[in-house]
Amino acid sequence: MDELRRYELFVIFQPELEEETLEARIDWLNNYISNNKGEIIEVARKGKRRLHYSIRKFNQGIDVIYQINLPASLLAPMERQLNLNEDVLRYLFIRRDELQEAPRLVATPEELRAEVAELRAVPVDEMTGEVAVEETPVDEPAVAEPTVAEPTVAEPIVDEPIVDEPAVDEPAVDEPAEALATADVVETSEE
Amino acid sequence: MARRPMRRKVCSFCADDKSTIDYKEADQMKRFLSDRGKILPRRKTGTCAKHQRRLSLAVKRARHLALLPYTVQ
Repeated sequence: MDELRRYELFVIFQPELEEETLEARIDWLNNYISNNKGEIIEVARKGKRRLHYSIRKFNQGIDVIYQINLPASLLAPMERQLNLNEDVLRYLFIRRDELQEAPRLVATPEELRAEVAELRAVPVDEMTGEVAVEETPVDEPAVAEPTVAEPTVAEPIVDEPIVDEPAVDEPAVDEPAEALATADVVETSEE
Repeated sequence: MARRPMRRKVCSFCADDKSTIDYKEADQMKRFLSDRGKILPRRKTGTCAKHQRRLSLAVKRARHLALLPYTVQ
């Protein structure tokens, strides 16, 4: 059989309907849907509202919003019924999954990036301490990548020589000179 | 030099992930319409291309249901 699809149906009824007739019209639609293997999830009565332009000489309309599951093949005959009904000023079918999935698609790449950043950040935290935790999540993906490669192992080792070097620097310059000098002496003496 | 006020750098829909574009929310969309009811261009609202497409579709749906005007006299 036909697959059910999620739709949102927005119907504007004409404003001069009595309470009872309005209920009858809503029931008529409800019955039409359930008699044709559709499912009603929610019916929201939004009440009377001013229209921004007149439709069939009416300046007001009564809004009813349906959340329904319909077999796709029912759409065309249902539209015909809505067109034939004098009390329906306007209607609009929207595929609801279209409205719902849109934000989900937007979120996924960001969520993925956040997940990747977290996964990358975790080993750094364990190795170097709590340094990475202090960083803002936005910076993490950019900063985390380089830190994973080098500093986990390299940082403690590299840090020590860097600290030592400035102190040793000046003598270090002399050392090679001395070494060369002694080397020369050795060489010349041999000759 | 500055012909119009400085452009917002970020699309208002991208800035707030909670805000979705819904054709039923006429008040939310009014911000993106001119006083004649026309859809404002991206260069005036700072909306990104993706959200401008969704916005324009939502505005057109809302107009069909008389939630928004086609024109304002």
